[in-house]
Amino acid sequence: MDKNYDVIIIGAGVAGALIADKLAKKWKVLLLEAGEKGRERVELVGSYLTATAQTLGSPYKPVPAPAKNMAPSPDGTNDYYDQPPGTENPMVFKSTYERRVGGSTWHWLGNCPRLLPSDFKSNTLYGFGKDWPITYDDLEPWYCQAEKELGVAGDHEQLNGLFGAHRSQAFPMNRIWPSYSDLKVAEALQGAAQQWSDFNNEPMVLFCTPQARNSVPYDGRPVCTGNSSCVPICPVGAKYDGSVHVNKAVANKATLSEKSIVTRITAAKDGSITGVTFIDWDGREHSVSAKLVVLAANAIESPKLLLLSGLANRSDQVGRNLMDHPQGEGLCVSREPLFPFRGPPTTSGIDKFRDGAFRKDFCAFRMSMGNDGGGRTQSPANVLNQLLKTDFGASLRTKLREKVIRQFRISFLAEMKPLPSNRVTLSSQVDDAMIPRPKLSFNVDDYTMKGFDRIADVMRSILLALGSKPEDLVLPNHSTPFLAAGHIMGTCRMGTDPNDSVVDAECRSHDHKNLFIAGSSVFPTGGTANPTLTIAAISLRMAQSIDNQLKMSQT
Amino acid sequence: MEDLFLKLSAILTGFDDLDPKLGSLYYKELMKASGPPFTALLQTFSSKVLGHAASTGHPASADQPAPAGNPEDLLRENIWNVMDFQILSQAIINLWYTATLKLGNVTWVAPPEAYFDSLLWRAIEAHPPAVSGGYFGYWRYPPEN
Repeated sequence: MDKNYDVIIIGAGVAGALIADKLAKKWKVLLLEAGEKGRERVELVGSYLTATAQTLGSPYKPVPAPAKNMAPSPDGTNDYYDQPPGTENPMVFKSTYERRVGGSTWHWLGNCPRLLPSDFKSNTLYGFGKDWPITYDDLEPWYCQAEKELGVAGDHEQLNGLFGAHRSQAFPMNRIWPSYSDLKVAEALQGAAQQWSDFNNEPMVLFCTPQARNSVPYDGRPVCTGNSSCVPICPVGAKYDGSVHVNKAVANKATLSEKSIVTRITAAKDGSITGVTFIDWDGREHSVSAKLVVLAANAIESPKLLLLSGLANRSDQVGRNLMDHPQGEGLCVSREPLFPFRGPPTTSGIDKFRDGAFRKDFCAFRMSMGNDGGGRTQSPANVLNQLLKTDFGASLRTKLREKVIRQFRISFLAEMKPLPSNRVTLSSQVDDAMIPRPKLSFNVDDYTMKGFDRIADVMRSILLALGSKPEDLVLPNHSTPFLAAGHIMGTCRMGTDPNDSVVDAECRSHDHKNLFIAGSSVFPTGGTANPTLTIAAISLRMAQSIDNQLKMSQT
Repeated sequence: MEDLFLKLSAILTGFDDLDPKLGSLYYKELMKASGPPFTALLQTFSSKVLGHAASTGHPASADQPAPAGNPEDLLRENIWNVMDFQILSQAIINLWYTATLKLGNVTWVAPPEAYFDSLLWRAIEAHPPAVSGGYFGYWRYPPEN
């Protein structure tokens, strides 16, 4: 491997892959990934089908299991993270990620809503969080480009102008069709939807969720055939994942180095970044140098590496403001059959709760409609186990069918405030590569908890409209711990003031002009959009800034 | 014995078109996991539900008439209501429905081709996750039955 590059990118997830693809056309690029490229998709699907526990990580464990797990991925709350219970940790941080070529998009759902214009200035408008140093208008052209790069299918007419979010271009593909269940839910809401004054008395309308899955063959990948296993793996590659742009970057002559765990970003005395040191899975150390380094790990691994390197932390903000989207589900048994487990796990949502004056008092949220029966908590296998206590034969088969085809899930995804005490630091415990594990402190603020009551009201009204018996309702409440969305954000936030932010509006470190940070770690606030599309938009914008900076340095 | 197992499985699962190849695979796995109780279960099924002569295993004759009642009732009385047999029967149903055998300390996951045929998904008119065999947009319509 060469020792000198124009650009070294750390992390081959969606952010690193997009940047590598764009820059490799003109510059000498090295893309380092701690995890492996791994087996072919079909073999990963086989591992998922036959896993005893079909967890998020089940398709992706290296086979055969190496003696040392050099780049462990969290697949639970305590197998990798250090988060001891106690006052530092009122709540458990549950979101995880995959350290592998292509990153966690391998097991994402593909939802691609944009942030709203108000999400970029929540402090000015609603008095919480911190305004972004960029606006929706700054990002809008990049959102369009990101939708093309990822291949997002959506309904332009429906979403153009949503809470002021204009769309200058249509989606590259028509929408993913709503499910039979969506149509039945929309029908039920027309007649029975309750209206609330704090949500502008408007009725609840289902919108097609924009998704990075193909509604027609696109970018050399096939159309979605509704295999219903997007999480944790699409068997045909109809859903976008980061490997798409890794492959494009490699075709553009970027060097991909898998199983390369960066242990340190190196800097000269004047603060300029000189390169990185990494170890391979055999424990051998390597050093490479570059004109510019892009840190594109994720919102836990990126601050971890900055803390290990002792860099970019003049503001003391590195690792702080760790966010997720607290998420929960409401369940019911509908009067009419909805036939779940056919098609993508979700195809529609309700966007009307994403903005309004209520955000001064409690959190915004987005609802998504499930096509997966009892969701994460009441799987068909669980229903089977319950029935098996008393039933067998034809009676079992009939009761199972009658229940599951009527089960319905609605989920919420809520915004949480960035809190400086929610934090990634270095643990005293090390992983197999002798690198400190991430130590997490996490809590969810009252502002978000207060929203849970309103969310439960909304859910109750929707589920009752479906004709569910009240005793079949399961609603989120304060004592039910919410689930994780996998949306790890914050920890290296962008801003204009070097004293309270880590990177500037171009995602360039305030302290090191040739260090850029990509990914959702730069988000000052989380809004109510699944983060990947915004990650992609910011990455594409950043790639242009980097290209300009490299050109300037040549002259 | 494998034949008996298929007949027993049909009554337990409520599906009468079970795949004999899978039946053979599952039979072997159950023998491995719990041989003697499983054999006893099949013998009881043979004599008390099907009315086969215990000594010969042959079908009922004039000398030994078949037991009165429908097979489901007979199975409930002679197998489901016997605690040890019930636990084993639940494991057999679970195996056909989910392609996973969970019995005592044993957890065995069948190969992918068994997963494709797991009954759970057929029972709810869906497909096993990751294997739809469908076309774009089929989910907009109810299943065709």
